[in-house]
Amino acid sequence: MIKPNPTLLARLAVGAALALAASRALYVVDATEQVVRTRLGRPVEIVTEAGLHTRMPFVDGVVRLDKRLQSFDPPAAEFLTQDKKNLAVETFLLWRIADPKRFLETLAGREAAEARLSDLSSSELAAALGTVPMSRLISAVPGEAKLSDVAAAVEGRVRARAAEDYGIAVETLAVKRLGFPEQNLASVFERMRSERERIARRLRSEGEEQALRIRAEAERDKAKLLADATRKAAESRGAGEAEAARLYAAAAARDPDLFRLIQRLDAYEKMLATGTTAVLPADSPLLKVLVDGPPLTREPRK
Amino acid sequence: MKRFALVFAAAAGAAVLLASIVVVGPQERAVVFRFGSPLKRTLGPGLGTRIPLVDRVVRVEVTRTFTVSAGSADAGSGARAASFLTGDTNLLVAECALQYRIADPVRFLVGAADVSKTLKREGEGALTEELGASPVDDVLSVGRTALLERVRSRVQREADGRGLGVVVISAAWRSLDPAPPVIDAFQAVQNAAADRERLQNDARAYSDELASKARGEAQALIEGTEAARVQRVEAARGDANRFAALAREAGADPALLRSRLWLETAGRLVPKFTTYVIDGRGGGTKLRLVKESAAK
Repeated sequence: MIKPNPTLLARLAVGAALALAASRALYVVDATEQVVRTRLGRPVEIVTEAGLHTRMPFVDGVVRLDKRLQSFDPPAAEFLTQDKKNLAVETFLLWRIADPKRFLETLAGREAAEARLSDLSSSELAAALGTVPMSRLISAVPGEAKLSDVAAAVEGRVRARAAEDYGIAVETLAVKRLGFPEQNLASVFERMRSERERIARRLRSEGEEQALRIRAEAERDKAKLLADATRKAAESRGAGEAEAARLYAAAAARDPDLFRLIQRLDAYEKMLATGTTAVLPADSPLLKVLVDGPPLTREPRK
Repeated sequence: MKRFALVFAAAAGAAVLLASIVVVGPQERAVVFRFGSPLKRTLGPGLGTRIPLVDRVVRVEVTRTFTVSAGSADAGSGARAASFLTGDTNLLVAECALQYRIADPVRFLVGAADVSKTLKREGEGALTEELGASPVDDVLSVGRTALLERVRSRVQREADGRGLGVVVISAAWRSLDPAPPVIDAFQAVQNAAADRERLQNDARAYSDELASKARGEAQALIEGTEAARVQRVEAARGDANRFAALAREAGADPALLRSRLWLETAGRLVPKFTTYVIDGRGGGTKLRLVKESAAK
C-alpha cells in the first residue's frame, strides 16, 4: 500500500492552485469578437486584437462582443414624400460594434441596439423623404432618380448619431424595397391595367394603319407599273404602225393603181371564206370578169 | 507497472499525433485560428498540421458556388415575394439569383455574421434602385439583362467595401414579371404587338404578291405588243416586197398582170362560194338560201 505523503499532497495542492490561477489569467480573443475586460464589473480595457491575452485572475471579468458585420432589417414603415405620396419603405442596415465600451454602457445587447437603430433610421428617413419629391426616389427619366443619394444622406446622419450615442458603426443604410401601401394597391393596379389597355389599343391601330399604308402603296405601285407598261405598249404599237405605213407608202409610190388593186384582192381573200354565200346581180363586176375577162385599165401592149 | 506507464505514454503520444493532423478535402481550404487569430497561410487540400488545443481549424468550401436569392421572401418569414416599383410606378415581381464563391476564406469567416443574408440585402437594395430608375417596358424587354449586370457589379462593389471575401460570379433572373393581378393586361399588350406584326406581315406579303403579279402583267403586255409590232412590220415588209416584185413584173405588161391577179383571186375564191346570180331584168326568183350543198 502507498502511504499518503503529506508533503506530496501539499505540493500537489499548490500546483493545482497555481495551474488554475494561470489558466484564469489567460484568455483567448477570437478574430470574430472583441472583448471588454472589467475589473470588479467596471470596464478597464478594450481588446480588439485576436490572440492570447492576460488578466488578473478572479478579479477581472471578460465581456465578449461580436466584431463582425451585422445585418438588421428595421420594420417596414410608410412615409410621405414632399409631394404627399405615401410610400411603403423597407430599409436594411449593416452595422458593427465600433466602441465596445460605449456600446456596453448604453445598450443592454443586440435587441436594444436594433431597437435604437430602428428608431433612428425611421425618424431620419421620415425627415429626409419629407423633403424630396417621389421622382427623386423612382423615375423613368434617366438620371433623375437618386435613391442611393437620398439613402446615403440618411445613412450619414444615422451613422453620426449611432457612433456618438451607442458606439455603433453603421456601414450601410439602404432601401431594400419601395412600394405603395396595401390600401393603395387596388388603384395602382387599376392604373397599370388601363395604361396597358391603352398601349395595346395603340399597337393594334398602329398595325392596322401600317397595313393599310402598305397595301395602298402596293396598289399605287401596281397601277403605276401597269400604266407605264400600257404607255410603252401603245408607243410600240404606234411605232409598228408607223413603220408598216412607211413600208406600204414606199411600196405604193412605185405604182399606186397596182397597189390599190392588190390590196383590194388581198382584202377579198381575207373577207371571203369557204362557204360564203354570194348573191351576185347579173351585172356584177366579178361575173363580168369571169365572163369578159379582167377589166383593162390600160391597153395591153402588143 | 512500468509496462503500464509505457503503454499509457504511447497512447497519449498517439492521441496527440492524431489531434495534430488535419485532413482537408479536395474542395476545401482550412483556416487555422491560433489562439483565436487566423494564420495568414491557409491549408490546402491534403494533410496539414495543427497544435492541439491551441489551434482551431475551420474549413470552408472554396470551389463551391453558393446561391442567394434577392427579392424572394426571407426563408421562414412566411411572407410572399414582395413587388418592386419601376421608374414609371409599375409593380413587378422580381427575384434575382446571385451566385458567389468564397475568394478569401479568412475575410469570409471574420467579415460578417451572415454573409449570405448581407449579399441578399445588397442585392435587394440594388434591385430596388435599378428597377426604380427604369421604365417597365425597358425592364421587361431590352433592359432585362443589362440590369442584371448592374445589380451584380453593385453587389460586388458593396461586398468588397464591407470586406466579405466573396466574388459575385453572376446574377440571373428567377422571375421578372408584372404583378399577378395585372399580368393578363401585360399579356394583352404582347398579343397586340404580335397582332401588329402579323397585320404588317400580311400586308407586306399581299404587297409583294401584287407587285410580282403586276410586273408579270406589265411584262406580258410589253412583250405581246412588241411581238405584234414585229409581226406587223414584217407583214408590211412582206407585202411591200411582194408588191415590189409584182410592180417589176407589171413593168413588162401591166394589163396582163392585172388580169392574171384578178383571175387567180377569183379562181381561188369562187369555188368556196355558194353563188346565186340574180338577173335583175326578170321578175322575182325564189332562192332557198338556207340549204345544204345546193346547186352550183
